[in-house]
Amino acid sequence: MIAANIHQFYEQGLTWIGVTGYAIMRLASCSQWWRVYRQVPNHQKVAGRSIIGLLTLQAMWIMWLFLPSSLQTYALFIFIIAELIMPLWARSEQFNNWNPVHIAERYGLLTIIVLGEGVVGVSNSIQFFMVNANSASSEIILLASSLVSLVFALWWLYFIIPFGNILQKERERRDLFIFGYGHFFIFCIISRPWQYAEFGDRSRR
Amino acid sequence: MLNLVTEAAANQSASSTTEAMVSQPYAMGMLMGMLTVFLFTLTVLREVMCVKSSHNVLAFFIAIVISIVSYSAVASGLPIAYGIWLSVFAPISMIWFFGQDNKHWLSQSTKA
Repeated sequence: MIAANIHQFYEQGLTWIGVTGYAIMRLASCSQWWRVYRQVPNHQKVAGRSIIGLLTLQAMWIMWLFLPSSLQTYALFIFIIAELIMPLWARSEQFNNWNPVHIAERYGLLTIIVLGEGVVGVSNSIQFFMVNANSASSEIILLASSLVSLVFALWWLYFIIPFGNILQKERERRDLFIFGYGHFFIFCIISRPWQYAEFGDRSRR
Repeated sequence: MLNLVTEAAANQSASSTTEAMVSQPYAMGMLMGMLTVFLFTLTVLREVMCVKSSHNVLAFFIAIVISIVSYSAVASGLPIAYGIWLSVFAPISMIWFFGQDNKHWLSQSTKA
């Protein structure tokens, strides 16, 4: 729902679509945490706190839709900080109830998706040169191969670091948050180049 | 960013009467900036999460030097495609260092 309406979100400011999409996601997430609460006795504290945190945060975002415009901006930043703090609170007393190799794999898969956007961006660049035939074929091939090589080098560099083994053998309380929130910057950085390529290509059509 | 690189490279082969909207040094500078921040974030993650990691600072320093050399080459007139090819050595140098560390860890865990 969020993905299908992302353009309306940016172009028309239709924030209720995003909030509704998140509400649907979080209800589903709460149902899974409820299963953990019922079926895994050792993880009840984390599960309970996660359910409370998710429902509270989502209620806050729904209330945010009805706030006056003058307050929405300030509330936005406060709620974002609350979003970042909630997992810290949920896992403050039990930080090792997660499979390190599985978590590392999940983040790796999302990194692959973001890097895959780079491949799409390079394809669009090649298409641009094919349509606007001012460049020699050798120049197109040289530029395209350089961009693809850079994407693949970043891909290789990310996966040569054995995050799964590191998290498994040197698990510390801070790792979940450093690894998780640190990847926010990784995804932001490697998605930005390809994002410009996509929007630039669409504006040209 | 890819759009900037594409436009910069296209302007190079456009007719002389066309004004270049995006210069190649600008596009290369933006690309190298993004690359540097990515390499820095990855280095920090590795340094903080793994106490046994080594060569983090050395690998990042060499990568930065390569990035700066690549940008300087494009700013001096080298076509951006060659500059990007040169900058590929930045992550590759880090791959080599991290690969050496991985072999060392593997040999230590095998002995243990």
